[in-house]
Amino acid sequence: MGIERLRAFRARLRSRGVLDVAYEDEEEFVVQTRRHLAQLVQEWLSEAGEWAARAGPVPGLSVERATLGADTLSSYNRMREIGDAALALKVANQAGGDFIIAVELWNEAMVRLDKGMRAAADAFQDIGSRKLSDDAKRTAATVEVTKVTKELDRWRVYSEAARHIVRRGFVDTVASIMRHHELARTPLPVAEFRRLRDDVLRPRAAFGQLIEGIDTEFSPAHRDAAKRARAVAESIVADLEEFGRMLSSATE
Amino acid sequence: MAMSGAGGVDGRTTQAVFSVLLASPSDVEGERTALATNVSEFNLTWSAFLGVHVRLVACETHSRPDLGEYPQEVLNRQLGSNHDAVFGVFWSRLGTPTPRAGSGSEEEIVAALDRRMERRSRWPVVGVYYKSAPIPQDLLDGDRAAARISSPATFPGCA
Repeated sequence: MGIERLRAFRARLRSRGVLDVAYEDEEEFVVQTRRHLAQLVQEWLSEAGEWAARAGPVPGLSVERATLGADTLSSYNRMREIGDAALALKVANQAGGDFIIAVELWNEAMVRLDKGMRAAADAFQDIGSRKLSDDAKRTAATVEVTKVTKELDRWRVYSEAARHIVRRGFVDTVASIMRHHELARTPLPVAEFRRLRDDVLRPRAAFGQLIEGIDTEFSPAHRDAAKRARAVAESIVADLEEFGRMLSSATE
Repeated sequence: MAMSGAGGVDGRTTQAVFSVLLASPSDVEGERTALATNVSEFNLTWSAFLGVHVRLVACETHSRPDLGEYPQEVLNRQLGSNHDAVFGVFWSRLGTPTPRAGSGSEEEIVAALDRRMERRSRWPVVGVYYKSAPIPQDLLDGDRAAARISSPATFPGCA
């Protein structure tokens, strides 16, 4: 069987020290390889002693910070995987000085936020549209809300990290690069961001339904989970709105 | 580090070339296309700015029919061995066996690992990606199906 030969191959590679990466779908593959490629090129240039020279002209980027990239990114990923938002923010703060890595983190954060917001919107709409008439349905809805809350917490790490990078002047740098090099087709997701802001409205409507559900249908025992979901989701909405203000002021 | 162009002559610029070999069986065609798009996007965005061009070497773009010891040997020769990174992508199958390895992709990845050991260097970097999505029934015996349509005497393409 093909899959068994593949498993044996994977084990052989691991025995030679190859750390592999699993991905779910093409979208995740694109995000991961885009970041890995940027990281590799940067490491490669660093080893050739060329990175500092080439990175020099980037406005607002110090050479010392530019060399932090690889370690910073792996630390960020590790913190993110174990769900430690505070530490992820700390390393994202370091990454703020690293231009390419910052762009890739931004892209990744936007893609994941997009996914997360859509999932949350679907779940909330689903919950909101149910007639929670009996205990079984209420319990099922609570389980769903708890699941969504957990997911939203994960997206929140990205949201905060991306905002942090923006705050460190990243948008100014990108805007400057765009102006000077006419890189209008840069992967900076301005259009995607505007679409995201539109998407925010949809979960907001669902939040309304959710709030109504909390007030009328959820038992006190289940209410905490629902309230927690609402708080996390609303803070993400606030983050996105703040992105919008920052991005608009930098690119207009 | 490979260099291209002729620096300093009539405003010409010199670019470093970062070469990436893509090694995978044919069941991850979408990922092969996605990686090519990523590389193209990277070059559009960063190439002029950093003076680095990423070259993606893949069998569909860098090979042609030829005669050799065995089909993968022809590919190995045409795709070259002096790459800075090798990206392996797998999902439901390892690929078509060769006389030297479990598949052409395996042969390419193992050759890169051997090269690292010889050079005592971390380059080429070997990055292997495994798709964790469920495998459809009709792909579960992917290698056997591929073997039926691929004779070892023919040009291997990207199987």
